[in-house]
Amino acid sequence: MRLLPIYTIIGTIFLYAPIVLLLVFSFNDSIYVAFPLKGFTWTWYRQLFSNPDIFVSFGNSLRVALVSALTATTLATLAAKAVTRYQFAGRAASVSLLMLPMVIPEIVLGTSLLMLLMNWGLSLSLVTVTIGHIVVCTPFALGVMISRFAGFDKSLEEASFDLGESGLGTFFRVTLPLVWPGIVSSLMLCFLISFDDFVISFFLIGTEKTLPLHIWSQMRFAKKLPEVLALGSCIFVSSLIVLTIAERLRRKGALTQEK
Amino acid sequence: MGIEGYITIQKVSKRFGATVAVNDVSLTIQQGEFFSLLGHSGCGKTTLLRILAGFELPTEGEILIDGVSMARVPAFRRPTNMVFQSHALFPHLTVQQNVGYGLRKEKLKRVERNRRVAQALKMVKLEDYGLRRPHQLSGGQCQRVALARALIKRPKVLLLDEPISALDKKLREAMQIELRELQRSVGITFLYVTHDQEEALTMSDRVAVMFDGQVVQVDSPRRLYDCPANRRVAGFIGQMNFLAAQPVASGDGQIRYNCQGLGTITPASGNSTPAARAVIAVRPEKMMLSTRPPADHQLGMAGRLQASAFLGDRVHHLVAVPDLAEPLMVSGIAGSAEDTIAEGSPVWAVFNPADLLVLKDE
Repeated sequence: MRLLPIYTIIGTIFLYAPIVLLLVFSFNDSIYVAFPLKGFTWTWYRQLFSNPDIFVSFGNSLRVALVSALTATTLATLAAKAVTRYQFAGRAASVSLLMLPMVIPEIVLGTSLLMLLMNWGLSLSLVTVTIGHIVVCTPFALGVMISRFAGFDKSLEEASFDLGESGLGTFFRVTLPLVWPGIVSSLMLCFLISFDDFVISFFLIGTEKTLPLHIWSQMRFAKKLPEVLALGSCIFVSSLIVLTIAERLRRKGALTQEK
Repeated sequence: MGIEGYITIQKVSKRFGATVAVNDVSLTIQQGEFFSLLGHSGCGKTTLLRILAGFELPTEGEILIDGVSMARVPAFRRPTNMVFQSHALFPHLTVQQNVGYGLRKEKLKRVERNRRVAQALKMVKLEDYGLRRPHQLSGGQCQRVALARALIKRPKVLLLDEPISALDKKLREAMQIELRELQRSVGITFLYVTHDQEEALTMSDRVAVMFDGQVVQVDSPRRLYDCPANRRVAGFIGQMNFLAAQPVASGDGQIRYNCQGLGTITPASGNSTPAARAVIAVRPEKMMLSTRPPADHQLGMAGRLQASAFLGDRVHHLVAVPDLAEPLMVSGIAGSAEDTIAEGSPVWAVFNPADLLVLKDE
């Protein structure tokens, strides 16, 4: 039992050492990622922010992630409402079918999407990347939304009908506010999946790059490595901030919905 | 009272696949009545209520409320409002917003709306709780909010689905009285679903007893208790001692029964319907515990006092009678003379022939 704290510390170091190294070397005054450290510098950050390519690809990723997250979450919300609120033939089967892409290897999904989209005569662009990301994100969004829908009492919607509200009115006045925390989590999850995605994007990308692809292309130039480290640090810190805000929101939501 | 009631339920059936939840039920309910549907869980009472609310469509049959057929009226246009078993208060809205939820469609001015909400909250004595959220209320308060939210719509019928079954006993008893008084003061027809016979008897003007999707008896609480329609109803409502009985053929037209432990008896007319399969029944409180055999005009069965259970105001004695599989239950007043009889003593369970019921045994 006395070994348990030591075990925990080793585990934590194992998990966080790469990130710490990333942060440390992004400020290191040398293009080589090696100890001993040479000295503190903002050079890499300055270089990073003066490089227009980064901003273009960052913007591309942002757009792709926003559209994918919104589309996947909308689809998932409607699907989750259907499968949790109505009885119909093939209900269980359709849930399984909708969730299946989650376990299909991305490399397979990427290849088949590429084949399909080429067959349709679509030229590769951010649009095709977005389509691919929606396919990948929807099952995750559906998982979040189904558990959210299953978690609230169906009689709340019946109560709304009973009090004279129509189907649409009930959706906006009762259903949507109650599944809202789910929608927020789903949007964030999908956004991160899309923003982070490499494999699908790699297959479906045209001339405009997303951020992960841009980073990957920069890795070929040794001189660019510290800049990539600086970029990685920026992304890490901003995701930390976003996650903290989201978690605060979620807890607040959970608190008002207790019982 | 004609055939046409304020609410008319005509030959309503509901099937879910192969299971029949409601089986050919016809009922008429009068305006302003407190009417209960009483039955075990799964007897179809809640399904029937949901059909009235419009959440389920009947497989067969029709429902009229105030003369209007509900066949093509969706739930949100029906003159009914429901109080749910789970209360179903909207967790994201305050008490005020919950109560005022149904007023939005009525296109009232803000002032009028606020006035109605305040009035409804006052009616359920929650004036000071308007700004709270449902999770900040106790079970009884949630119940009152649910009532206010439904009654503010001034429905023709208020449907209540076991609304107080989740509360503790003391609160439940208080709510029973409160509900009954509320119903009298607003004059709205209440249709109340419960599995608790005591609740149904305490509050209702009339009770429909349901078994297996069918209505077996509709009567006032008193009639239901004193003259149950058959063995099942008698066993469900209150306590009852049952004695197996065989009808005996006789020449004089009188129906006699050969009753287990009592011999041949002639029950008083009125309570008896000739039936091939019948059972004799006596309420525990109609029986008396005695150390002496019954007088000439009385009936009695000899046995041994097996156990006595003290209930505060009453004592329940179990008397083991050699001929009977189940001991008889005799209910006496606590502190009376027979209360002192020691367990294990030989005793008589004595009663008047007039208190015998002959019931159909299905």
